[in-house]
Amino acid sequence: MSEAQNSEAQNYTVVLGQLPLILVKAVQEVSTTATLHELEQLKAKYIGKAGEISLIMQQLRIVPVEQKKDFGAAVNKIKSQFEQAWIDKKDQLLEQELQAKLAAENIDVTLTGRGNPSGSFHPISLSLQRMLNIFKQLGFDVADGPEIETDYYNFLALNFPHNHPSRAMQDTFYTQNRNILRTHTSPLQIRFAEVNQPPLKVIAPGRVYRIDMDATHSPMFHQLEGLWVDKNISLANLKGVLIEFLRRFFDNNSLRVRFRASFFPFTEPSAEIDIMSEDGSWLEVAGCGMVHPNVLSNMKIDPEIYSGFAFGLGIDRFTMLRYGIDDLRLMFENDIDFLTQFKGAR
Amino acid sequence: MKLPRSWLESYFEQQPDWDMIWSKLTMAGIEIESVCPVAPAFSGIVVAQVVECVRHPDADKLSLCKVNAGVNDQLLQIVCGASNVRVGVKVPCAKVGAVLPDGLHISERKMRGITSYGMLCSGNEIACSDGVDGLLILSDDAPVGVDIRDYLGLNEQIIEFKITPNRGDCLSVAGILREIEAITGCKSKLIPAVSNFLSVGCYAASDTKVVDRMQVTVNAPEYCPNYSGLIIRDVDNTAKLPDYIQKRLSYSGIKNISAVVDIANYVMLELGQPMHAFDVAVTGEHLQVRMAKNQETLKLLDGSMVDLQDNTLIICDSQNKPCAIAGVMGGFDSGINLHTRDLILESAYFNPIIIAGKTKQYGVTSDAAHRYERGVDPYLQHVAILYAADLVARYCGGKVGVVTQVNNLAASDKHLPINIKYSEINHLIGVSLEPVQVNTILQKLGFSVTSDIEGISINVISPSYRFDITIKQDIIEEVARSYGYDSIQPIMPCVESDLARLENIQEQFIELKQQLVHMGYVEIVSYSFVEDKYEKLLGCSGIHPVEILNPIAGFNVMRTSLFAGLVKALINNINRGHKNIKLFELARVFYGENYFVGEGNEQPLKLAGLLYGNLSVPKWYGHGVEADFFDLKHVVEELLLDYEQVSFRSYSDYPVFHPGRCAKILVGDKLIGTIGQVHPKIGQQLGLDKLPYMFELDLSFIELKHSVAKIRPVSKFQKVERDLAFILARSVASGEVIAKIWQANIANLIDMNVFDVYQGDNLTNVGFDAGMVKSVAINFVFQADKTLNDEEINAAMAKIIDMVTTKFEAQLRQ
Repeated sequence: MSEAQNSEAQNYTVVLGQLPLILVKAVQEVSTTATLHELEQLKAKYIGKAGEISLIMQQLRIVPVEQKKDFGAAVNKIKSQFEQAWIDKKDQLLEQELQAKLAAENIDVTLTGRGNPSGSFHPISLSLQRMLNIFKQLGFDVADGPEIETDYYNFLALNFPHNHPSRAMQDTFYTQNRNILRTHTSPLQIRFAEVNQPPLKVIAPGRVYRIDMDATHSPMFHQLEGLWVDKNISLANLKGVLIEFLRRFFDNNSLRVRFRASFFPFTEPSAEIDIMSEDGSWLEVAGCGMVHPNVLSNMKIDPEIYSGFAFGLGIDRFTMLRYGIDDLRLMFENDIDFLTQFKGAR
Repeated sequence: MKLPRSWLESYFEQQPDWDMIWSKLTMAGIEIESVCPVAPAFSGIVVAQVVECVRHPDADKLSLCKVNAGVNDQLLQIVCGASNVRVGVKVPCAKVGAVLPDGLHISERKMRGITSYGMLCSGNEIACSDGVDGLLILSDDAPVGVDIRDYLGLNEQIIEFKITPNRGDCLSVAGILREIEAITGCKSKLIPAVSNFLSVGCYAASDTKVVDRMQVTVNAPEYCPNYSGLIIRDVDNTAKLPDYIQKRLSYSGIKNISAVVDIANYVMLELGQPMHAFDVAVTGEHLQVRMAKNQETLKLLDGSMVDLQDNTLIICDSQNKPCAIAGVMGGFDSGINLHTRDLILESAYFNPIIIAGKTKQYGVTSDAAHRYERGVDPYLQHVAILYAADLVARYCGGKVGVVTQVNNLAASDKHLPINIKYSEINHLIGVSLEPVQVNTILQKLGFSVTSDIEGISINVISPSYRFDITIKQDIIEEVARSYGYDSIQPIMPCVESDLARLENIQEQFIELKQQLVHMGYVEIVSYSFVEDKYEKLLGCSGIHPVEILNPIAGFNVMRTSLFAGLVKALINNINRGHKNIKLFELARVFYGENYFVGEGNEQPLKLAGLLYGNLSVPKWYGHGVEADFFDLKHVVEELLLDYEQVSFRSYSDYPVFHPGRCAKILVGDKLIGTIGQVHPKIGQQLGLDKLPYMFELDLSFIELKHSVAKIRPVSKFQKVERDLAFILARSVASGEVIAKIWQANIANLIDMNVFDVYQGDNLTNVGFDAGMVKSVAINFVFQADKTLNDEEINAAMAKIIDMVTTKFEAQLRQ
């Protein structure tokens, strides 16, 4: 062994001895680093090509063969300890950076969503949809027809004779040609029956017209007509169907409903239907009855074989009750502040 | 019909539970519309007499009274401020503990140092104002100490009955009592007239034996099957009727006129028989009942002059001149007045057929006609005239003649038996009543019932006063309402049944509305009739709208377009401060009065929308964007997504719309609607600062959709896109270019989009007259079931360029 070699060999033991100190210093520096950039620089400083730990490792070549293994292991241990500290720090810094980024990206989630708002259905449409849905479950067809009607369909075919006082029950608009604005949706019973064979099971919604205008009357309003003609249809069936309908519509299984005797020319027996309001008073909501045999005959249906019930209800009235509207005129003023309250309503 | 409750009460030995009666009558079809007390609630006020009255020592305007209010003969010391208080008067006195209508409790109270033990009341203070300032001075015979409510009849209730047109028999006290007994079992006494005069006529106050007869000739017996009349002479028509009669009339809403007229009205209300009185000095003693002739005229009691028509039954005087429209209204000249001495009372039965419609025909209202057209008991006339004559004789004096009666009641006026099986009754009602139950119900209602031997069916004859029982179903209704609708158990029908069709038209309407709602539009419902000024501006040109003969609130024509409703709603909402408005309506319009399914229907359903102001409102993320034609066009495109061959074509002569901003909407060749911006001239007339955009679609287009959507397979190969810009004359519609390219069936072309339209100076820079041309840039998308190579795409593009440049004289923009 030359002198130079000897001195190198002595040197490497000294270097080896310095390792723990280097580690302490490096870990110290890593731990106080605040940025990823500085951290990268520390990596170069210690384990980069000219890094302090790397330089020590380079001493391996002068370490005697029998000690190379121990030397290498010692340096690698220090290196991996450094690397661990470095990675932990990097994770920590990345996490900090992410947290800072997330904090900076914070938004005010209480601001409204972007996009144009929906419009709204007219409450009468909403009621009508409910009604259609209920009667659809019972297999009812839906019919439609004219609003300028002839005297025949609006009155005569429905057993209102000319000049009969029963006509005075419905104050009628007349057109220039002596037709009338239908006073009820009942003409649709006749029109539907003319083109369909019994059994008949149909509802017919629509606009109707009577001369009347105040807080509870509008010259135009909406009715839903219903007709069920088959063999063996009874007044008890009428009660069964309509009580069920009313309870579904008002979503109230214990809704109190009463049928009381009344008069309509096109039904016999006839009834008015009242429901009990929250304050315990009865409210009239619909007229109904067993189709009058004269009307069945006008439908070309034999009253000795078939019977049926018919009903007519005021969609506007149902709407007012359901949504707690107390002035019918609101329904036709088309005030957006009123109408948009039904946004998303059912 | 209104009646005071006391009138009904007077026929009951024992007062029934009235609330129960009203509720049972209502359930049985005799609806009680309202029960109104004549006075508000108050208590503790009695009739009192002022015994002493001196001035209050410390107040000029107050009197110190000693009052006998019937309290153990003790006099109450009461201080009173009224000027009309004096010794001897009888007045209402609120004793200590009384509660006034306004809720005030009366207690002992010092007034200027002197304790007052109560309060003397004015009419106002007990809610029966006599229009006089000061205390309500009561009659001298008022009984001291009696509760003022009893004395003045303030516990009275006015019952308003809503009698349906089929139940004319209930338009009287007697009719209501009869119904009460049938429905509730509460028996009332017979009305005296009915009990006293059923067999013989005897006039309580008339002792003359003069046989004085009027004469009557009935020329139309089928319309006047029964006529009773009698003469009463030397009547004092100024006589005062008893208080109870006058009160009953006024509570029933009938004005007091003169003694005999009031009696006639009273008998009508009590028995249901309308009556009329003629002045013998005018008519003579011989009346005739005949049909009117067309040239005849008559001045009616209400002062109106009418031209009689030959469909009208009239009463004529001895000269055969008209003096009354039978059963409707008497003549002005032949009517009685306060000076009338001799009169003829008429009590007739007129066939409802001849009375029906006459009040409307002659523009009058009449309580008599109201009853006659619903049917008056044809056996009531004789009793009623005897009763009325008795009352006249009793209260107005006079000599009553003998009744002249012309009775032509024919077999046809009698009610025929109706045969009905018990099973039919149970079937239609949905119950299982025993025959005996059915019989009892019908008998209680006054029907005569005869069973057949097997007990399967019955013959039923309705009483003479019922005009609404002609068929089996009428009998069934009587059974049902009397049994009680509430007692019928509800049963869901159990029948063979098809399910409903899935795609009914109403549901398709709802789907269209749903789309509009999602796109921000608010549904309105506006009247189908409009003022003609709106119709002229916004209606369908070339169509004369249907006029309404009897319009309300100026809405005199049926609209031919939904635009008027939208615009009126728009203006209302602008006036209420709204700036950005999106509306729609689905409803009918009226081109005429005919209706049928299919082409040419004059009452089609339409769907219309309106867009005004900004498309979106300013929000935290951006400013509002002003809406234009294409925003609304998008809406229409969305509505028509399901339809093939939807196209928009420029439409420059639609009067409602701006000629350069209006389009026809077509599906295939079928014109289904229009869209555009309101014409500036119309906008000006409507006072609109900004011009809204509107569309209207004829909903018959729904019928155009028959097929279920056909789905093509999706290619897995890459799409290739190419862009091109053409320079086109401004008059060339880009839609036509697109359509032509589609028609050319370019291979593998699957989509095209116009992504830029430019008009302006930059075109001048590249050598065009910028005022004449525009640049339209189109994006083309190709796709096939293989990877397309450049040659294929280039060939397709060359074909497009060639076609567009030749067909539209276009140039490729470089």
